[in-house]
Amino acid sequence: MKLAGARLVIGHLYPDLLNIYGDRGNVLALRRRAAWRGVGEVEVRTYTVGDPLDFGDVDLLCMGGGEDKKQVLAAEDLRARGDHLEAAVAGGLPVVAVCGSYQLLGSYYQLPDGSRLEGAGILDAHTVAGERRMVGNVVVDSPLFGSLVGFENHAGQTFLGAGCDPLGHVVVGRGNNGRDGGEGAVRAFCVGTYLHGSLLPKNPALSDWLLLAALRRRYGDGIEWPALDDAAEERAHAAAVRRAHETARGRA
Amino acid sequence: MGLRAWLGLWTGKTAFFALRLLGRGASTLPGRLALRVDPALIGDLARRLRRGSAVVTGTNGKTTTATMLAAGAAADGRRITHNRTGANLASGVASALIAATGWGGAGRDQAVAEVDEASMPAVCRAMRPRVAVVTNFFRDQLDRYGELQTAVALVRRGLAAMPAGGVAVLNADDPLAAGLGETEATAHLRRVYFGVETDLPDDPGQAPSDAGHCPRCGRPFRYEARYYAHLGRYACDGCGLRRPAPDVALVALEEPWGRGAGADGGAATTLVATAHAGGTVMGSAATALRSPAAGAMPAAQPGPARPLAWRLHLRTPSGPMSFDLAAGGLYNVYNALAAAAGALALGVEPDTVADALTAFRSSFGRMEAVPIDGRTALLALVKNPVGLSEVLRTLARDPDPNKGILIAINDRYADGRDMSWLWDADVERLAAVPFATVVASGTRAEDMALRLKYAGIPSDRVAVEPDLAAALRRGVDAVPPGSTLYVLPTYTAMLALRDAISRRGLARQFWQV
Repeated sequence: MKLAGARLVIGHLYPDLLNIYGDRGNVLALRRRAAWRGVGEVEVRTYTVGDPLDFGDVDLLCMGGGEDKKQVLAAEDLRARGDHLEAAVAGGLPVVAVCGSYQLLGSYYQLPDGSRLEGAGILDAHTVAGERRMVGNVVVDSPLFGSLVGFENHAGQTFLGAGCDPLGHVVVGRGNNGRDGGEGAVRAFCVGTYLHGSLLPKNPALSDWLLLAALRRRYGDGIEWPALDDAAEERAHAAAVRRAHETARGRA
Repeated sequence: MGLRAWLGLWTGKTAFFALRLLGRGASTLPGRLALRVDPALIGDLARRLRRGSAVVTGTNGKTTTATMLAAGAAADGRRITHNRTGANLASGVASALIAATGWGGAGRDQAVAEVDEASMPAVCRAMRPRVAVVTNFFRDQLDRYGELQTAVALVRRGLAAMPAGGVAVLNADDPLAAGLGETEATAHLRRVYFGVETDLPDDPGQAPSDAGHCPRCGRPFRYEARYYAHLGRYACDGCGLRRPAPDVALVALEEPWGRGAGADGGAATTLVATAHAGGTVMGSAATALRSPAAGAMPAAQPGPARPLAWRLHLRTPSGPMSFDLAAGGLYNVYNALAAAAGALALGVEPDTVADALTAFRSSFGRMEAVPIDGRTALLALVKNPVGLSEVLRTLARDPDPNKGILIAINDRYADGRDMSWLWDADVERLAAVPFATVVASGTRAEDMALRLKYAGIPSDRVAVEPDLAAALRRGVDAVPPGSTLYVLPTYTAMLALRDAISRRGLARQFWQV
């Protein structure tokens, strides 16, 4: 399969509501890397509350994080699409959901007063509002992707059930809940994580895994997948890892 | 003043004296020590000001707006104290008050204080300012403040602590700032709005909107015009919330540079300034600007153009006002509007305000021009996506293909540790801009270089030099004499770069500004 004839549709969910941590950078990374590889047509479609969306029309889904009030708006909408999204993820739709949207993909978010905001139930995970924000650089060791680097800023503590695996184990930072050493969640090709920074530009292995999954889902195996010159990505990744260790040790 | 206050004042003054002897800057330490002796010192000293005080807060433009406002009040003959180095926490405000109060307690006429959003409640409770100017709310250092709404709430608490009959000067074009005028917190205040009522040149570019939704009913706003980020003429079709009509309004903006001389048939003033070694370029531009009568064209000089200046025409409750502003960037147009509205609220005459704004010169890394080896380094602090987008938008208007760009991104605590903001800025605009070199520097030089790559600028056109002084050298060397090196540093990178420049004797230490 030659990529010149391929077409890739990236669905960006709730860009107006969930966009506070450089989430545009993730969409940009996917778009650029697909184009650099020679994918003939790369399209980004944006969807927000109430927009008609058939998950069969998109090859890959991106979601970001937002402020509490806006997250509630997105949560209601995403919940209403839960059954369709469940079928799409079970069928191999790649999804990357960062921070707030990671929480929304879980089964529920428990507020400080004990009440629960229902999630979309895609990931076997739930989140409990915490007292203290977990803020700082993060380095994760991931069985699928090796070293991942990013920045976390969340008060919610997420706990995984048996139905999904953590994205990796925290080397620097707090991760899902600051207790069990896990960071993020993976089910099929759906990834939820607290890492922004932006996540994908500095972690090209994860970007490429999502892109390849998207193209294989549409075009099958045997896709030509040329290597890219990732020197700049690797340098930025290495610098971020270095700064994560330095800031964790309290060095300015 | 009680004994505690005197002890606090003298502690602070002693610290100033000692730091001066050591040749050190003293923008926060005297205040910090004095507040330890007397936590209520800001209030004690503020009460000794004969004409009270004004505060300026908001995410972007605080330092420039406060400097302009202080200049307006000073032009009225008032003796002003002002935390002009941008030390905007309680310790910085206290330091400025201590510096302006004599050992015997003699105070000045008025204080103009730039105040960090997080310090607004405490500073306003102590200072009881007569006027508070709120510039805007953009996403900024979320790793420190959390949500944008947190910053808005802190400012609201500050405004609530102002004395009855005070004036809240609010940006009509920012739904978050203007919305403060609808809350209980400002019910005891006179509310004055400033805003833009004319079309602005060029497109607002892409920048995520922080306030695209109606705070009352949650619907997306409809924009009749968007100027930058979420600033514009907005309305909610759901509940009918509208942008308040500005009392101090920009009704015309002349664009004095960026097009070839005469190309626009004289409709706008065209200014082309030449960089020359020795003198500051700002000075020569200002001379050219001040002289022409309306419609006249200053003589175009050979050499590269730079984003130097605007001519503003305002409608105010005190009558029309026109003045030239020797500061590029649309954000400086907003800063001047905010300062003009603030100065009028302080009772300064419109002509006096206009003269003061005409004489205003950027300083301390806010589009500050520094001559280096026959080139001009134009320092423009960048600290959040909107600020970076707008500085890039400004330099994109410089047609000189020989210009250089140095972007210095540090991730120290004062800069914000999180680099996500680089990806929210409209760096893509640079892909269409001709330049001789772009250098990425700072503790996160590699992140910036990667951002440039994904913005569509080939990696072989980007030099990566984490060391700031070396990066400055590299940038200057890559730009031919007469051209401009745009230097875009984060806060701590700016301090380090200014230090590197002043060691060469080219710029004053920041506490001498």
